[in-house]
Amino acid sequence: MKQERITTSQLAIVVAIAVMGTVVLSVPRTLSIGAENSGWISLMLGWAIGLAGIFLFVRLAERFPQKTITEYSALVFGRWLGKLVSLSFSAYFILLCALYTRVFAQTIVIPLLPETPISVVLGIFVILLIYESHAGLQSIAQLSQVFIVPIIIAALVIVAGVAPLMDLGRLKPLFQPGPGPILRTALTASTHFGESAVLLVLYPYLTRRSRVLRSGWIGLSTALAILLPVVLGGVAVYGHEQVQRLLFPTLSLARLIRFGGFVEHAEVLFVVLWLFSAFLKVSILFYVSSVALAQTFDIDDYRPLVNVLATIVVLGSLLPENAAMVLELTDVVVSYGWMYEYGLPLIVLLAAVVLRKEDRHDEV
Amino acid sequence: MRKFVRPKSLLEADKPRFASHSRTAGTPVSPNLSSNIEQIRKICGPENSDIIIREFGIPIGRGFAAALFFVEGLTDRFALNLGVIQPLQLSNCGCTLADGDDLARGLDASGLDIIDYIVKYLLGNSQAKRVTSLDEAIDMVMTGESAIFVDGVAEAIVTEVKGWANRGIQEPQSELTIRGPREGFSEVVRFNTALLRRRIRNPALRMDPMKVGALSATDVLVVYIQDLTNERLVEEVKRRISEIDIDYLPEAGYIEQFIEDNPFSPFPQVLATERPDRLAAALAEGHVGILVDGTPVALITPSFITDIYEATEDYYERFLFGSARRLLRIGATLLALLLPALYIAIVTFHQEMIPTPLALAFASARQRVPFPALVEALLMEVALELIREAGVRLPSPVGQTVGIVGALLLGDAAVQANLVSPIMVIVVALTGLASFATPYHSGGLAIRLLRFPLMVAGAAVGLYGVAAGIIAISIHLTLLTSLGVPYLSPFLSEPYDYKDVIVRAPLWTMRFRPRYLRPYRLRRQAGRGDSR
Repeated sequence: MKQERITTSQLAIVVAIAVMGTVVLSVPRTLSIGAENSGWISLMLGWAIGLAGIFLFVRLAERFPQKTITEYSALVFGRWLGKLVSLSFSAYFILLCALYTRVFAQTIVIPLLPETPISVVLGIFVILLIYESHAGLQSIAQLSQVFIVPIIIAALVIVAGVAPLMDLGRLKPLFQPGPGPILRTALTASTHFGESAVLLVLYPYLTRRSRVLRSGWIGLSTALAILLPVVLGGVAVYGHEQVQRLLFPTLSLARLIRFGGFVEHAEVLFVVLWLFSAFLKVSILFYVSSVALAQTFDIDDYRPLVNVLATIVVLGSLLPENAAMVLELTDVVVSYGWMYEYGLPLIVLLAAVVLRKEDRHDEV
Repeated sequence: MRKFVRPKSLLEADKPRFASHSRTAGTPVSPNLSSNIEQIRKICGPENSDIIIREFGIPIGRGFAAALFFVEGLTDRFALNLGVIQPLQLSNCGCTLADGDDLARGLDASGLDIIDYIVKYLLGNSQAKRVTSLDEAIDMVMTGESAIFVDGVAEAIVTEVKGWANRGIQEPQSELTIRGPREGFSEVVRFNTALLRRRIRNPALRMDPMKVGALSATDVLVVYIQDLTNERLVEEVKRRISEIDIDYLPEAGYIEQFIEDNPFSPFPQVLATERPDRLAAALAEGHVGILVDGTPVALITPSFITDIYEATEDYYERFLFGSARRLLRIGATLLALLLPALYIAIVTFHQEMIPTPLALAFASARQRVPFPALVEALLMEVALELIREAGVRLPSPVGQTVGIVGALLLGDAAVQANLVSPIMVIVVALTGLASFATPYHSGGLAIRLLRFPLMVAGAAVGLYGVAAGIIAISIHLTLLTSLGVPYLSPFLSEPYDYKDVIVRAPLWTMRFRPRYLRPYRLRRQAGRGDSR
């Protein structure tokens, strides 16, 4: 079953995309709402938490190098409690999938296809998602490798393009909202970085287990390197009060760019680029959740599950009635997701240490 | 009025019994000359017009009756006359053998029999081989050799006298370059191996022969460099070729279609080339080549997505211009794939993207066109493909006329008649131009074909549809392999090495062969201290 292999550098890219794939458009807004002009500090703190999280994930995965979290949670907690843990793990990722699918569709519909029903957008998306999941982990990793280059370039172009409009004075005073909001927002940001928990499922598929920690950190830092300029730029150009009112501050930044007066509404191009990264992110989460779910039910191959699961994801993504509900739901998930992302692996690790459970024999 | 007897229908005809075409090397050469001749006549047919059996005598000792067996047209007349018949018929002048009676028994004092003697002293050919199987001799004669049978000896001599009409070495028509060697492969595989050997003058260049086709028995050579090319690639190519089971192999394209990994993909997973310099360069990188007799097309495998836009000239020009032209070609490939789809998507869904004056120009141009953009585009694209297809078949002076008539008259008239907008003509013309810039024909075909689903997607859901199409194509590309090597390998190789992917870096920086081919020797410059 573990025929598919990815390299450590592919892992770094996959982690980077899993973290910033969708949020790059909206993160300036969420951070500004929480921490006003100090959103970038929260982001850095969230990144630091994420680094610690990677350390936790790798320590846990190293105890069972041949197994995914769903397999060893059964070892640690016994059959039924273990199943419950795995089920909740995959359920969390399915929830994220559904949420991000909806966010994706919404983001596509508003600037690109205002008159097209959202179900059409979702339909095409889910067909691609099913295709990609059948294609497997290697395909996801290869696509991430190919597409991360234009994604990074696009982020840099946006920030460089609006650089003349920036007023760094808007970032001052530092720590304006005080430590409380900054820390709370840092935890929110750490939810995004915590999505690197995909590592707990991907670990057994790695070709080499050396430097996993390093490549995880590189992945997070790449995500930070893309998110930080966007957050700084958003606040520096618009000021945090206005950023809070923008639905997709990054796109609003892109709109300010003029390519020699010819292309207006350049944000459409960036939406298209973002579409690739968002699609990849959802496919990573979807792959992880379908593998985890298949293992929970002791199914050898996750592929038969894909169609059913994709249907669940789409139906789930249609549940919120309007965009406002989607925003609220996102806020709730993002505010508390970190507890789950870091808490569950921490509990498993502690239990494994206390119960002295490990399975270190490594074939590779 | 003549009356025809109605022939028996093919279906009612009696089923004749055939001997199997693939004979085993069963029948031995008989010591009796006339029975040999009879056998050959039986196997080759009594009236087979190009099969010649020339009987003559060898005046040594008491004289030997002999027969020369060859296929007219496959043999070089001068080589036969001067190298085989003449020395044998005039052999008695320089006869060094002692006694006629001994020779009659087939032996002389030095232990030579008559066959040895002919091979050693008489034949004026560079190659001669002794065979004892009649079937083997016939098979070799069919490839253009000639066989000598001598009465009283159960052996035949097969000598090399190949020579047939061919068009010689010409410039390859499908891969013209301004700079670089002009010679191209031709239909004769032996010329092609010579062209290759002249470029790689090293015994490590191996050309392993294989035969494909029960009827055609076509020579197929698997070409690689020993101790450089990964054995597993070579073995895989040989395995796949040996599994081909067909009667007739007309062209290298058959090999390609039988050995490719993903037959349903539009992307070519084997690179076809007519340029010996391109094949030699690929071999030196660690690829495996396949030469097929009877076609000027050689195959290079594994092949990757980069082959669609790479040209040999990239390497012959200085690197700045090589890189610039490669970038231009990448752009052209993307344009050929996406431009009509993007145009349709933008005028149908995203008019706000373009500046107002331009949008107004678009709108006024499209105002009197009765069709939606998709129909308009399909109309013109199909017309373009038609012009192309028609031009290919016609003799070149007429072909140009078709181009002019098609492009100028049809385009202009279509605009005048308000069937299409002038902007659409520009878009389609640009697309056509861009697709001519892809150097690899089969790759260009993939781009041309994929353009149409993208256009439909763009017309259905705008840029989202185009993007979804790109994602679908990309997923498909990640699933492709060529000889088991991922098709996107040049973009994925680790450590990241884009020196020869997007741009063409200066030659002196490209010190390693492509890693994804897993060559046994990675370093290709500053040769000492090869690292694995």
